[in-house]
Amino acid sequence: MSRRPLLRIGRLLSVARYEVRNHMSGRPALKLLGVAAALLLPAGAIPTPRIRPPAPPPVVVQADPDLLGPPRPPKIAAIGEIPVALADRFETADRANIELHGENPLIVRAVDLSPETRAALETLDGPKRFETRNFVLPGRLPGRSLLIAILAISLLTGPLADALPGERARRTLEVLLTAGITRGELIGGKWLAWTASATLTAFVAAAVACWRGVQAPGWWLLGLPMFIGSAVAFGLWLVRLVDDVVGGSAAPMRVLPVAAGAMAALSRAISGTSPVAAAAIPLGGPLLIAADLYSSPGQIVAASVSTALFITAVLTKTGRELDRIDTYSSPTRWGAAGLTAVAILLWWLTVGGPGVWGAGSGGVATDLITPTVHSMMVGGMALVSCALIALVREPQQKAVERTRVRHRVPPVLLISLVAAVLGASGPLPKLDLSPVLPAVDLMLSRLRDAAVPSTMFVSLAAAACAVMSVFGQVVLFRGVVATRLGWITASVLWCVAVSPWAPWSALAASLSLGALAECYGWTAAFLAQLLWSLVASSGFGTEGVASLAIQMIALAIASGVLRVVRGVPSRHQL
Amino acid sequence: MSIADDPQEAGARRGSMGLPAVRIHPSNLRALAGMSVAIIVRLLREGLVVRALAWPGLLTALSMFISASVTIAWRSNPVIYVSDASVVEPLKAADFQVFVVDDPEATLKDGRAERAVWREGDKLVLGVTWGGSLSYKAESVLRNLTNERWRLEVPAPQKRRRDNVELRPVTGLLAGVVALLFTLYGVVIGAGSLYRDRSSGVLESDLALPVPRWIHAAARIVALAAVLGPALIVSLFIVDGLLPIYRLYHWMFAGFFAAVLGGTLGVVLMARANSVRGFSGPLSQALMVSMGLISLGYWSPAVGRFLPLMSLGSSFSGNAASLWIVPVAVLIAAVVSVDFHRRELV
Repeated sequence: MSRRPLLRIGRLLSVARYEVRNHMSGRPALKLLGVAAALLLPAGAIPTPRIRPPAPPPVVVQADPDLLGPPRPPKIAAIGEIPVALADRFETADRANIELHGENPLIVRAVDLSPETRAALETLDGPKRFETRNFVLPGRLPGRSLLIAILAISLLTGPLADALPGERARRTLEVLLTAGITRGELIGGKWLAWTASATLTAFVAAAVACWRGVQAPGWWLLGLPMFIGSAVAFGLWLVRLVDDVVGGSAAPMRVLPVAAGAMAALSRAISGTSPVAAAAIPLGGPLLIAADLYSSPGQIVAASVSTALFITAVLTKTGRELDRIDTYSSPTRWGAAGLTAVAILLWWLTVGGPGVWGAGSGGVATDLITPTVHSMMVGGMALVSCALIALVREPQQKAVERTRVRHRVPPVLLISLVAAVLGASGPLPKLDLSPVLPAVDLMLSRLRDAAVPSTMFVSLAAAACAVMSVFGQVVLFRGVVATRLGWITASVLWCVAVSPWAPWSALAASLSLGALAECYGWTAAFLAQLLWSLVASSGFGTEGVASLAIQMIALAIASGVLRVVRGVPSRHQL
Repeated sequence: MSIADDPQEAGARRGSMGLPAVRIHPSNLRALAGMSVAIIVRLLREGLVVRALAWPGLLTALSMFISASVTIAWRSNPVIYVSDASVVEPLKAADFQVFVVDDPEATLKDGRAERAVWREGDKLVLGVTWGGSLSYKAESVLRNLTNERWRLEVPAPQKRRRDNVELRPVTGLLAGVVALLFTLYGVVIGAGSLYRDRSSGVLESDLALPVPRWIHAAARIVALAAVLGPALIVSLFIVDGLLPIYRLYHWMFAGFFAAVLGGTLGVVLMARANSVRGFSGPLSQALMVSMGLISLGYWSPAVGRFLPLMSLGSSFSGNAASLWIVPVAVLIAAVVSVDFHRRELV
């Protein structure tokens, strides 16, 4: 039996023609071309201000001989005592960035010294034993071609959405799949059509840029098709299973710039170690060649080879998955786990993230750190938003069937008992295994403080922020996550959120709160955590391992409550 | 049921174009509220919308955090390369990590170090590629060591307030980017939700409800405001938490109206398009128009600050949006609703 070849040029071109004819005819084609021209031609034609041709020299006028000679430099404002030797370079002022004291040696107090100030100070008499030299390392800025490449790709959002999701939505993909063409020819033809059209558009803009002198011709011209080809292949892979054009246009719009940017950043990061390997990074390497940042022959060869391999691999994978029927109208894989992951990331960024400025040398940025109280409010809002989205998306959760037994102990008493014991344990203890960087320590400390706020009695605003923080945590972890992933998983996830470096330091307390929520609903956990915060705010409680031990007592009580409310499993009954 | 709610009555009172004329009755507000809530719930159940709401804030905050971490870690690394053994101890005493190499100047020029010290004859040279506080600290130590004519004392930096004018260019750009992303997503959500409802037949069944047609458009605009507004505010708060944004509430105000008007633009252009034109055409038109208006606002802030969407552009150029954009936005929403009311939407 003869094997059908994977790619036949004639059929590949036929698919490409079909694709272009489908989307580039009539008024839509004119509109697309109009949009392309409106975006790309100015991008190519308008010169960057700094590389505009130099202005014509000014007309020279015969000046008065008394005015000839270099102009005197303006005097620099300074506070303090100006030495006589510098009297013609400095002048006293009430407010200035420099303070001068003494004469031999002259003491200069300043956070920053401008080149003019340095030049003035160097006019002091005496031997020069020390010198500071500023080195500007040669670096290249991306050329206008970067903008052209990005704009050319941004125009493909609509066509990419129509290429596969549109075919699926119109039910014409099945017709194409049953035609006498291979999957490779089908997907290759579509890729070829949009790569060629986008490259052509980009080349027109590039030609205008070269003609107007905005950018000199170079290897970046080869980078344009390499990047566009990679981006089209990646875009087709992104929408391979989407069956509507709206979802199909949103996915490349969101993912493609981030993927290209991340790959470019990765490529730039390793370019110092290995320039050739950096150019071989898919998407990133070709983008930086298109931006005229890489131009050595080795880099061009590496990028060409890696781009060819990347495109082949991605298109092969896309072609193989065209037959899949488990498509989605809009990729909806945001399960409870995904939502919780996003919520935890938001919590870390809002509450712990500002601590990053604590790493600044000399504490320069210390005052930029957002107060924890403010971060607690924002973190709580972020968690509540995530919880609301989850509740709207999946409102009807199956209620947990519990075998309850009658008991005479009021729930408030049990909740208060657990809360009181947790309160006796104090704020979350610091039980990190090893010391880390000061900035990371600061972030971890902020996370612990926001979990069990101890600022309830500072002010009304601080109390409101603390309540919001606790409310957000409880609604998300004890309400939404617990009903979807189980209360034990939710309790562990809360520990990861509030104490990522040492989750065990909060585990017993978290399980206690989780058990209360399991028995009486999330409001019970909210009440208990709020009471715990109130006690912690009063300064009562212990620290370290003792705190953990008291948390264990709270867990024992909460486990008992769980047994009482749920009842004893039949296998344990005598 | 009021007369205005009665579709037969509404059909009887047709306008000059043969389409129903706009009748506003107070009881329609109840229908507007109900329909808005229904659209909000439907929007929030769409993965596309949820990702669009979470993406800008998360992406911006994460990028900022990673950039800040990398930059601070790199810039606050107290490493110095030296060739002269006499400077090692004084620099170590000032908490520098000192590495003795044969040619520190070459190390500096290779980009492997930010500061290096070497001797040229009787003179000590400090080479730096970054004039940060650590470089000034090294200079201070070395000037004292060489008994230079003038010495340097680096005082503790001045305290910066959170709401800092000095950081305005950077924070303004960040806040503007978040608002711009929400505007673009507003366009996509506005156009996309109408396209989906139209192609799936949901719009047809909605239009069969005994409520005036303008309510359908007004409810979509209200729903867009209710969905995009809180998400934009939370996202800006998150970014503000990481790096204080100068005049945060001004950005929220301009961004909110830009996002809602972007969504309105998506709705109106999709409603005016023939259904056979598909999704891409009206979407690209709406994206172009919104970007064009923002650019116009940047170019001419004196006018732009009084108009929604354009006011986002004028905010980029440092001109806060005027309160006039509120009535203008309401007027635009009313015009869009009336336009929707007069269309067959086929």
